[in-house]
Amino acid sequence: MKKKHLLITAALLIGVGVYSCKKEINPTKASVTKEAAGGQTAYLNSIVLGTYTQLQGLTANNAMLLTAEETTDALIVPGRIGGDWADGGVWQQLWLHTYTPAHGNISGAWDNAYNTIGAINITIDLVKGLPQNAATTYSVAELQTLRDYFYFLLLTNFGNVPLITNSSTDASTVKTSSASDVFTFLTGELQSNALKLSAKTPAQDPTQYGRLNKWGAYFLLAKLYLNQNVITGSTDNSGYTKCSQYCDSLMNSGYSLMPNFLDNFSSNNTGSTENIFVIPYDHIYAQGLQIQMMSFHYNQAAKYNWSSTGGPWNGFCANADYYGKFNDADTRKAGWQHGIQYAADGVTPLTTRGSDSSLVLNFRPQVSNLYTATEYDGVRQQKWQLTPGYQSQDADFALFRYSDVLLMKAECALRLGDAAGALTYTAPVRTRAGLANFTSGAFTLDSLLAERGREFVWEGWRRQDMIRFGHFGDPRQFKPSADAGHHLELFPVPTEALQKNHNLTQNPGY
Amino acid sequence: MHFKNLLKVSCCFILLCLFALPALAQNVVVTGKVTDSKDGSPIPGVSIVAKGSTAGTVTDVNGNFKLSVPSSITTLTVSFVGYNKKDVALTGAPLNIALDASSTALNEVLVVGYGTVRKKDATGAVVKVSSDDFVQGVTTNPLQQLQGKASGVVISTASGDPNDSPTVRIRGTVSLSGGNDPLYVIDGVAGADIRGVSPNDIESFDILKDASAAAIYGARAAGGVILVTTKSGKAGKAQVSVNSYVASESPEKLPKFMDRTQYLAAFQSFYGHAMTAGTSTTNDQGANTDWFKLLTRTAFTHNENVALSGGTEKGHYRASVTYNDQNGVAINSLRQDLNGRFNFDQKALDDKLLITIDATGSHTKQNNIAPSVWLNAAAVPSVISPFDPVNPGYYQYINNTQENNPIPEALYLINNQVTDRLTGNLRLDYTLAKGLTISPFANASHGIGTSLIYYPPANAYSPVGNLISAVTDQFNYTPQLSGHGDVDKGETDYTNTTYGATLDYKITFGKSRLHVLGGYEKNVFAYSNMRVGAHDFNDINQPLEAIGSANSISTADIGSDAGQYTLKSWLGRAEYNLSDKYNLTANIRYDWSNKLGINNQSGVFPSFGAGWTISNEDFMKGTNWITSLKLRGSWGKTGDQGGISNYNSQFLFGPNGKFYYNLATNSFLPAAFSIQNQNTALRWEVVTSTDLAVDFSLFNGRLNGSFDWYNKKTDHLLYPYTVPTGGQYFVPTILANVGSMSNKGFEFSANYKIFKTTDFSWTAGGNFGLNRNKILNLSGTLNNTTFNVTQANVGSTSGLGISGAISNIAYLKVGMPVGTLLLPEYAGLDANGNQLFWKYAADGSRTAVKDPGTLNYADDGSTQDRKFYSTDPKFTYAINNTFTYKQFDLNIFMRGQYGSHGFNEAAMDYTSLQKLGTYAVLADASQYGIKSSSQPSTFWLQGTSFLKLQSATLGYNFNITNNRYIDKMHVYIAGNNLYTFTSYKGIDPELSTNAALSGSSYGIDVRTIYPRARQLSFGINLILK
Repeated sequence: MKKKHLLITAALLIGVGVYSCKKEINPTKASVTKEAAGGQTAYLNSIVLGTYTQLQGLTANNAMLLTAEETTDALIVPGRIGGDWADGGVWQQLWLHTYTPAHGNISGAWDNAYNTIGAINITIDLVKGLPQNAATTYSVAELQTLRDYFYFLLLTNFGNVPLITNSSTDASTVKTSSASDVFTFLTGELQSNALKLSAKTPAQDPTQYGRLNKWGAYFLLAKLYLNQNVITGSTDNSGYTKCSQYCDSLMNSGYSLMPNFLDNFSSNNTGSTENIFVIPYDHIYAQGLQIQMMSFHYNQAAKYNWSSTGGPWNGFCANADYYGKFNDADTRKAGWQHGIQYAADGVTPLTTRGSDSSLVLNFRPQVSNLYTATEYDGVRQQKWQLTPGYQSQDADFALFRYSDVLLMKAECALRLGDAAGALTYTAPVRTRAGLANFTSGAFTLDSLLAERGREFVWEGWRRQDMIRFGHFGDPRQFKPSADAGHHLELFPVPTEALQKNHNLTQNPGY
Repeated sequence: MHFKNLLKVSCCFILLCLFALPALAQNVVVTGKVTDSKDGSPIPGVSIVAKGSTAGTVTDVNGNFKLSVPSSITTLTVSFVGYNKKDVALTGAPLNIALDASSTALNEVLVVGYGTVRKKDATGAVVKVSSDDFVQGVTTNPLQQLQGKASGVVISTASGDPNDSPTVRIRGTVSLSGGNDPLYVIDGVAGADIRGVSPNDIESFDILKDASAAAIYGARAAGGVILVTTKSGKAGKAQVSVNSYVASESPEKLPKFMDRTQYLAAFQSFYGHAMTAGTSTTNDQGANTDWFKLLTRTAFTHNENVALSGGTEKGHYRASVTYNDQNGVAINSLRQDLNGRFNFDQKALDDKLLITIDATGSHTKQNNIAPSVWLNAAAVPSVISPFDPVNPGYYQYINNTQENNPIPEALYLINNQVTDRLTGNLRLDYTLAKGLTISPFANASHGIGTSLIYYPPANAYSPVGNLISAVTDQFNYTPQLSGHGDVDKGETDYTNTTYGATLDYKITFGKSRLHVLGGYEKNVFAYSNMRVGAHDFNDINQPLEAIGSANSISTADIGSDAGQYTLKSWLGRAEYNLSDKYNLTANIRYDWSNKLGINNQSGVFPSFGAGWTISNEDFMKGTNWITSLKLRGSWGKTGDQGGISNYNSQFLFGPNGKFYYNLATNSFLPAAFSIQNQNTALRWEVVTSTDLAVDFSLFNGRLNGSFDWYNKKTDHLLYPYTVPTGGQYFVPTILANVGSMSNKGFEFSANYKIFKTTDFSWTAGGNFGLNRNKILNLSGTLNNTTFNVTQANVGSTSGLGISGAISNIAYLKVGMPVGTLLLPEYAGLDANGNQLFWKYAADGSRTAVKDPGTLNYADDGSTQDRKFYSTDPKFTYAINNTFTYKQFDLNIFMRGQYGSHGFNEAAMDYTSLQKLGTYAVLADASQYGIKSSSQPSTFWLQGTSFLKLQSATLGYNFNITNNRYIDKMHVYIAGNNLYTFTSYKGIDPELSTNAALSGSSYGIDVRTIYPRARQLSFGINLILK
């Protein structure tokens, strides 16, 4: 009797147990598995266009665009009395060109690019897994072009980088490709994909806003060829010729300069005919643009109602040398905050804090000390319109602007010996800024570099421009001697990346 | 299920069967009553045997007995489980027999999961803490009763917030991924929420410290297991007990910042000119504000518990209701708990079936205080007023960068939470045959938590803020918004269900006893949550719950999530005893879970234990001073699943909180993105542990104690490795089981009855725990990807002007314990008051430097400019003394740790004189003369050894003999957190031991801590007739 009970019970229990312990995937409820994602075209669309959201992090203080800018004469981050921005000297290392492979901003920039590239690679696989049609072909071409943009950032900042174009590639063992090879790959892929992509501006087709199409691809090709000699070590003029050709195409594409420079940076700048490729931002939906938080003084919080979200941090500014490049008549100078700052009523002057709490807040271009600057040292950048009450801003950040096409065209003409032709392309940019055009006698490459410096403040082009014009390593305030050699023109491969993949090669000089 | 009582009841019935029958000669009738010598309560079921005959009986539910004995009999032998056997001479009069509880703790019955074991048969490290030994005084969380009471069980409270839960670590940190909390099993319901049970309802805690004991819980047991047994009814007439206390709480210690006079003097001396007077929030406003004083209060707490219990030989019941109202020492902070529990058991079917039903419900309301309140209270100088100097009647709108006005923040920022929990538990024990019992069981727990958070508009408290509507910038744009209030409402619910059955077989043959248990269990853990946010509640009077009336609601503020996983298990245990000298125990559990990688979904967790009771050997017979001596040893494996979330092993796409723009529809559309890499090999962490121990009881049971030595190793240690992206990896981290970690330690506990006379007794107890944690390895390989990690940053210190590499001081370092900090070495002050740090050259020589940019902050081992420091204590200890004198009882309980260190973040932030004029400065800052900006370094790493007078209780037992209503009355006054002996310069040396993989604050005394409270309470325990 006893044994019978025991046996029956045991048999039942074992039966239930063995049956129930098979391999089983835990069904998800709030996320989608890779297998499911690939089968749903509508959902896949949100993945394809969702890859663009990776751009939203690009304008962070420690991401690719501004980290590059922080190594140039356009953006200095002094430590302030009281200790803000001292941070163990990381910001000052960028200014002084003493950055090392362990620098957090540099590894952050690298990681952000490869995270995006990885997401694009798997998305391309998923799209290729669908029944192929015109829409899938278009998506692959567009995704590859967005990937090309991130490789363009890696190429121009790091030079020699691993080229991963497939989600089956083992990223922990892939080898570094030379800058020349990456250049060849990018120009080839962009040329072939440009022809598959839409040739309509957002004004002609609103669905193209914030996306890369034929003109985005051409803009990238123009930039790549403009920098060909720097990237590949070539010394001929073929790059300038090709750049010039792509600029020609872009000048016939439907884009045009906005009459007012600042309209390209307003809170509602979706209608800008000048912005070719933008990162769409929103203070709620698509947060990320908050350059003013890095730059403005603490006490300016009251003026813009930022205190509930934490006031600005009094960091990024420009020194007297850079600010001095702006003529008073230059409408672009309005992008800088200089002089006495007022409260919300526009009348009451704001004051500083700390030992100088009695002083009126009066921004000056002088930066007195790289580690213990005063609170009011340096002029602040505010060309992106502010949304009071929110840290994150509504202005869409222009990555590619038409004025750059004109200045690239001018540069190519000048480098190819056509100074007079070049002046015809600088003219609209100068005129829009309220300035007379350069005169042929005083028009040099240096004046073009300075003009680019005024036109693209903190837009992420300065490092590339200074390198191309040969002035990146020049002495500057707090950095009395020129860089030894050119190795600093490439960022080091981050220590973390080397640890994750032992097959990577460090750039020379580090 | 109340195993201990079940056992008592079973014994009672067995004794009845044995002794109730043969009453032969009837010469003398003896009557009497048996009571507990300690509290005088009647003891039912006591065996009464006429010495020298077979006549015997047992006491009834009121402790009374009546027995006929032959006239030749002169003595009765009185015995009962848990009490010392006693011979009582017959006097002819009714006997009043007081039994002493057994002096040897080895007679205890331990709850070990799916059953019980006599302590003398136990082979694993199990500690029992009964209600008599609980920490007294204000206890709103059951774990507070246990704090310091068991060696190797470190329960640390890092704040005085009544809504915070202590951190519990049993024999060290076994996992890096958060799976360090013990498994709580409340009356057999595994995985229960310890905050769902009222401290008043707990009879005992049984703590399974080693794998031999815990392996029966398999993959959930690596952090140890705490089994909670709640009180149950006893046979006898209904008893009503009333327990209540009122308490006053005040901050134990608050930080001392410079008051107005000190601040202005220090300003003058540092800058050489007076601070400018004015109404700006960076001027001297003429105030002398003590922010911490304004934010704290003497708070009132009260706690009431009423329980009704009783039963018959066949069934028992107990119903209990507790209300707790604790205000907390911070203004506007609150915790209220209403808790009900019903325990019921009944025998049926000729006593073959025992039905046990438990039900609990609780309702908790919390008002939480934002941590930033404490940050702001520290940061704003005393010369700034909380009130608007220009517009009387308003709070001041403090608009500085790092700090806001903490007073309205504490008063009007709403962060409320309501939690309801329900648990039901049914268990049937059916005796199939002698010794063979089948026990099906099922239980379910359901909880719902609702939170409401409201950030008022920045201009809500001050007319100054309203000026914001006049903002125009250089573009002359009209501002879009003039301030905003944000509401966030969330709801989380969970449902955990368990069902299963065990089959239990006991047999005795010859000198052997064998006890075998087998079972199956299935658990399903499901959760879902929902959140909605809204912006622009511009009017502070707008009803918050009407979220739809907000000016702005976006899809970005609406979220929901749901998930579940299943755990299926087989379990078995065999216990063998030979001649009461040799014990062998084996446990095994097979667990399967679908939250693991598809290739590793199951695991087996075995354990073996052996015990040798030397004192029962013949050769020990003559050694009278040894009451009991036992050697035991065990080995086993347990698993840890705490670090693995439900879908961690799968390749997932999901919403990434981001949107892409569609100009055509002028809207932002949701983006989906790859959010997780796949790891098909994801599996449990496995802890293998060995335990060797001696249990002793000496001098007739007056001195009891044990030594334990253990060695634990965690393999398949989970760590989120960074992986190179671009190719096969889509997000930069993957959770992989690659590393290993060890905990080795030694524990000692003892309890000594120093004095015991009729009027006076003194018992002293203590415990000592030493644990050495060490990360052995974090490197390895997964799917051809090699992880080579020797150190990793897991947390940072925060401060004014401190971010980036220098703030990243909390590290995991191979070869070091968790809670390791990486800091520059302090080298003194230069003549100008700049802090100096040692900078090391390649040849090992060093120079003192002051510039922050000069030090190399790389953590890749390429520099010696920063070094690693462990913050872990060398050992922890506790000392307990209990005195009784006549009707008075006094308990003094102290606990401490030695050799620990902590990083004093507040001192780093508020000691530099450079902060004068902008921030508050600590009162003792002038004596340091530091003029450079704040820099983390070893200067702020301070010793945190401490000894706390955790509680002292003085009680009085009223001598109540003939009251019609009251059976027993005990009153007491108790003090908690009375004093801390320490050399630490911060507020409290007991720091967080949270070693989470991100945001670790282990060893860092962060600036956002809710002040701890000193509590004085007055309480009463009544038992009504």
